[in-house]
Order: sequence, then structure tokens, then C-alpha cells
Amino acid sequence: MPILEARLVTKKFGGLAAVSDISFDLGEGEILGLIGPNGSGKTTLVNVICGALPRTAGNVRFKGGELMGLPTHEISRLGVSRTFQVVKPFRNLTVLENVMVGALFGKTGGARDLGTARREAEAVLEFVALAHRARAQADGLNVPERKRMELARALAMRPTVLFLDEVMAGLNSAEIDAAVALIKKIRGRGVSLIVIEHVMKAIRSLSDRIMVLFHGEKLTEGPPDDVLNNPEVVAAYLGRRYAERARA
Amino acid sequence: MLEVKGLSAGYGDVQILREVSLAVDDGEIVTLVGSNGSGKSTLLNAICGIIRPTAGLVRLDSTDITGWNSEAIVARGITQVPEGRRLFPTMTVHENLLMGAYRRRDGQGIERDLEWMYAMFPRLKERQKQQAGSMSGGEQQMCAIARGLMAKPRILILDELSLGLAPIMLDTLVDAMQKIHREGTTIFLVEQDVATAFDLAKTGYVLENGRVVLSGPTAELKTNPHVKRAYLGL
Amino acid sequence: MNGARWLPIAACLLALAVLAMAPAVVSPFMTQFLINLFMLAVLAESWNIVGGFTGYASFGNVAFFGVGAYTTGILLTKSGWPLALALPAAGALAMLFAALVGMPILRLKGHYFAIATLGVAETMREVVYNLEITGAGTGLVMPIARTPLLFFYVMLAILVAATLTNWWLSRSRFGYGLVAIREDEDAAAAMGIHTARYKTLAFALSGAFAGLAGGVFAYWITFIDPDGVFKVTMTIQMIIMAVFGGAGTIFGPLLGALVLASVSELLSTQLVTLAEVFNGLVVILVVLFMPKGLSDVIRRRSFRLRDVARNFREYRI
Repeated sequence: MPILEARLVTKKFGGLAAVSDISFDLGEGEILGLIGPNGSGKTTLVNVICGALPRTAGNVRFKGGELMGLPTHEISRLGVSRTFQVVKPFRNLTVLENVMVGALFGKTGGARDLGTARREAEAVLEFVALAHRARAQADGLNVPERKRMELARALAMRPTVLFLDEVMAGLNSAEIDAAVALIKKIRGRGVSLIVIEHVMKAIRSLSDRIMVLFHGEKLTEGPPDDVLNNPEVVAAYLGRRYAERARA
Repeated sequence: MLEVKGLSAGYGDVQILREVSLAVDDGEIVTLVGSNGSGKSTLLNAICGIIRPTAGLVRLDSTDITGWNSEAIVARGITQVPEGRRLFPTMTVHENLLMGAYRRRDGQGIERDLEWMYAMFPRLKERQKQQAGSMSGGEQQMCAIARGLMAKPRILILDELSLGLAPIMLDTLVDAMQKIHREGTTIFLVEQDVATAFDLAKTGYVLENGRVVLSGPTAELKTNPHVKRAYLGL
Repeated sequence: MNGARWLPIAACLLALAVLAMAPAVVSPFMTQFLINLFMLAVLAESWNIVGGFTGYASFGNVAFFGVGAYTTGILLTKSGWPLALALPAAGALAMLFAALVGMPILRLKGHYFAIATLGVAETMREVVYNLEITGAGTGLVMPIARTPLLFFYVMLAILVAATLTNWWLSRSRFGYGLVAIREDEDAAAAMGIHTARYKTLAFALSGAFAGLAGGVFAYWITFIDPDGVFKVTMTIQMIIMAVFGGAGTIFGPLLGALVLASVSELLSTQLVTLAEVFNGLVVILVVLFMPKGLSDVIRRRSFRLRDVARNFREYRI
């Protein structure tokens, strides 16, 4: 059974439909890539599924239970976590403390005391290779470090399903390779992932399947090779320079 | 037009830039590429008067503008489109563009340029009355560039044009940049997406750890093995 | 526990012991000053829970102080309850009141929240002014206490409790949740924190201590009326003391109360008019020179003019 089932998810702002009748499944242990032009509704979709925005219509079942209508914190307690496109660090706390908040809260059953939370947070920081910055102030990190902290915080929440929203933006080629490897390690731990990205190199190597959104609707979905060579997708999203480079 | 010679700068006790030199000639598109932490933002901050360099100079035409404050530098004709757009989110697209023309007094010229912007970016014309903060990333980028152009700059500095943009949006913006360039604007592009940067610019500089390690025509830089390995992932 | 951890605890116990012996050695005037100081410190520490840790700057905590004062007043005068029962009742009622008021008001953010809390305090004053049971405009007169030293030790005990609560917040899951709410409420909710519940609890806790302080105050001053008890200047004082000392720290508010109350007392004996200007001057001082408060300056052991200059420039930009 898929771990996440979305059916006809719709979100309207006034008369404008930001997201329209989106249905998809996320298999257990799968990495689903989510791509689409800016403004196609990717982040809105994540916001609706994770309870940050109320839906207009549709259902999302997680492990058989309905998510729609639940407040954000309850969805997190159930085991659905997300990172934010524009990272939201707790600026006046250290990196370790930031991640400890994830360990203390997040999915039910986590650490209740600071000592355990600290140990768990340290373990997560080791896993994402940010342990050397544990005592640094969160607002003193550079861009890739901030993204990794955002990721560490979400991981500390012990998610079953994790939404990653453009974690690769601003990373160079080598950093992207490292991030891809890390995300695969995360999947290896049993987490199912939905990854929103514009960095094609990453999406191609990460995704088991890719879903394409366009103007709030699902354009197509399928294995990476099929989707990225689909002429509709090239026209709507990839553009001619990408196609030229891919041919070269 | 813009000349940087032996520029060193940093924050507090930490030195980031070490004797950086580069030049942007009239009517050119020049790019500076480098990874996070290479010092690109520090360089722009030093050029645009946000921080004082500890050594070296910045010259616009023949005037030494080293250490001038930002208002004076903008008045001289340098306009920056900052990383992350930094639009006025609660103002409409139209209002943001007008803010770009803040220092100008030529009403008719401003009207003409607004027409030019809307012709170049039809998407912006559609969303004229929309709050800038409610648009998608690519549309915001368009708005930020248009706002920068409304100042009628002598040189337009673009900081991380491609950040968070869908590939097709990047196509649109690259086309727009080439058009703007053809119409006479000098462009200095600071970028992390090396492929895009080398497509646009004829001359390039590569910044690593605060030093310029490579420079020259981008056609040559593209074939440089170090560049290929480290930046193009090839 | 190793040696280093014992030191601060020993220091606190020592200070507590010294304070406990104070009434025996200092003048009655000094004793009264200390009771006032303890009260202000309780108010600052209680404000710190909702203002410092949770980041919701309440401008109406004096409302809970007043509720506590009047609850004690009514129970003492009209129902003949002993202080031992009236005081906890005051705290409980103030806590309940804060929770009820908090539920709608904590949905507001920033400036709107501040103004709404200010409104609550002002409204309470008017309500009390118009009720029979509270003695309306005439106020209430308390029975005279047989053991005036009682106030000293009770207020000190409440101060210890309030400070211990702040200490507990700094090391508990609940406290971490509050700080997360302060730093980024949306991220906090996304991380599984029930923000509405946590905020309300913080507000209620803050109100409880303010109410207890009010209860002791009523009995100590022996006469309460709406204007004397719902003073907006008291709200301002507790905020300034907490921020000056260091909002969000354990001892900051206490430190702030100590320094500012002492200086204010000295000034008012020398130059009455300067005392009035004092509060305003402190605000300017804190914003310009030490935005994170005195405890941050002490912790960093530095106060370089270069930092001050940087603050200046950053505010200019």
C-alpha cells in the first residue's frame, strides 16, 4: 500500500486555483521528484498537505489515515515533515539547539528530556556532516550549511515522509553531489521522500519517479527518462537551452 | 567602465578578498563565477559601498569611487539587482518599477522606460497590479531586473540571476539579458551557474577563496579542464 | 555533578541566606525597599516567561497583578479568609484569567498583541472601578498584618519560585518549545509544537506569578484602589527591567530589577525630577548600547566601543 495517497487536492485563493485536482501516490521508500515552472503550485501543494494552508478540496491519506483538516503540528506528530524553501532557522539558538527542537518534538515518541534530545541531535548532525558546526550560532552559517541544518532539523523529527523544498538552490556542483548522496542515505533509513527541485542534475539522479506540475495541474508523471524527454515537459519547463545541453 | 584593482576586503578581522582585479568595459557583458564562500557577495558589497575595502581601488570611468557610500555610487550609475530579489513585497509590480526610477526626474523618460519594460516582460504587464511578494520566484526575478533597469543605470550588476529558477524561466531571462545588452546596457553578472554565465558573457573571471584564479574569454574558460571539473561537473 | 556546576548553585544559596537574614540587620526602610524590589523582580521574571522566552511582548501583565491584588483583598476583607488561603486563590484566579484572556488574544502577533494586552489592563481598571464588590472607586482597606516581616519572606519565596520557573524553562522541553515559538512560530508549528497551547500556558504562568505578587502587595500596602493597582507604569517598569537585565535569560530580569530599582531609589532621594526621566533614559540606553541586556554584556565580558559603533551604523542603515 502506498504510504501517502493524494486524491484531487485543490487549493483556491479567491477565484484563482493555485493547485487543481492533484492526485498521486508515494510508495514506501520511494523518492518522488516534483518539478514545474515557478508558480506552478509545488510549494502550495506541500503547504496544503502539511497543514500550513487549509485545502479547498481533496484528500490525503497517510498510512491510511486522513491528513486534511489536521493542524500542522499534528501532521508533524504523525510523522510527516518538511523543510522550507526559504529556510527558517531559529537564529538565536545554536545549530545543536535548533536540531534538538526537532528531536524534542516531531513524530510522537521522541525524546522528552534534554539529555536524550542532545544525543539524538548530535547523531543527526553527524549523519548530515554538520557536527563540526554544532556550537555555532544558527545565523552565522553560510548557505549550504543553512540548508543542511534545515534538513537536520527535519530529520531529527523522525519523519516517515519527508518533503524537501528546493534544498539544492545555491549549491555548487560538488555540493549538489554530496546532497544527493545524503538524500539517498536518508531513504536508506526508511524515509519516503518528495523532493522539489529546479536542479535537473539532482532530480535526475535522485528520483524513482518524477511528477510535473504546470499551472497548478499535474502535467505528467513517470520514470525520469520518460518525463525529462517528454516534449511537453521540455516546452513547459526545461526550455531549449537544457534540451540543447542534454543533446550535446 | 568599471575597474577594480588589487581590492582586498573582509568583515571585522576576517579577510575574504585578496587583491582582486577585474575590468568591465563599456557595453560588455562580463561575468564573475565562483562557489559559495568564494567571496562574490563580499566583492559586490565592496564595489557598491556597503563595506569599505581594506586595500585597492574601485574606479568608475575615471572617478575613484573606493569607499564611497551606496547612495553616491548609485547616483553615479551603478545599479545592483540583489541576490534573492529583495523586492518591496507589499507594493505592486508597477510600484516596484516606479521605485526603481526613484532618483529620476524625467517624467516622460520614465513613462517610455516603463513601456519598454512591459514590452520586454509581458508577464509583468499582466501582473502590474499584483503584490510583488505574491509572485513566483521567476516572476519576482523579472520584476527585480526591470526595477534595476528603471534606474537607467550605466552598469547593471546582477547577483545570482539563476537562483531558484526553473530552467525555462532562465531561458526567458537570458534572452532578456541579451536583448538589454544589445540595446546598450553594460552588464556585470555574478553567478554560480557557470554554464549560464558563460553562455551570456564574453569575458569571465573565476573567483576562488577570495582570489581571481582564472580570467579571459569565456569561450576559452569553457574548455579549461579545472573549470570543467569543478564548475561544470563534466 | 562536577565542581564547576556547584559554584553557581552555592552562590545562589548563599545570596538567599544573606537576604533571609537581612531584616534582622538592616533598617526598616531598607526592608521595605527590599520588599518592593522583590515585587518588581517577580513581575520582571514573570513577564520574562511570556515576553522573553516566548517572544510575545505583553503590555498588560499589570492586569493579572491587579486581579491578584483584588482577589486577595476581597477574600481578606469580605470573606475573612487567612492569607495562607487567599494568596494561592489569588494566584490561581489570576492564572485562570490569563488563560481565558490569552486564548483569543494570543492569536494576534507583534504590535497588535501588545495593544490588545494594554487594552485588557485598561479594561480591568474600569471594570473594577465600577463594581461594588471591589469597593469601586473608594478601594479596599486591608486588615493590618500582625507580622510585618511576613511580606518580606512571602515575597522572597515567590521571587525564588518565579526564578526557579525561569530556570526550569531554560532546561525543559516546554521551554525549548516556547523559544522555538519566539524564533519562528511557523517553523515551530511545522516541527510539531502545539503553539496555541504552549503560548496560553506561558501566558497563564506569567499571570499566576503576577497575581501572587499582587496578592502580597495588597496586604502589604493595606489599601488598594483601581488606579493604584492597575498602573500602566508598572507594566512599563517590569518590561524595562526584564529587557535591561536580559530578556529570555534566567537572572536577567532579576538583575535588571535590582539595578534599576536601586538607581531609581537613589535618584528619587536626590533629584525627584530626574527619576521621572530615568525610565525613558534607560530605554534609550538599552536600545543603543546593549540590546540584548546587561546579562549579555556580563556574559561576553566585553563592552567594546567598536560594538557600540557598529550598532549605531546598523541602525542608521
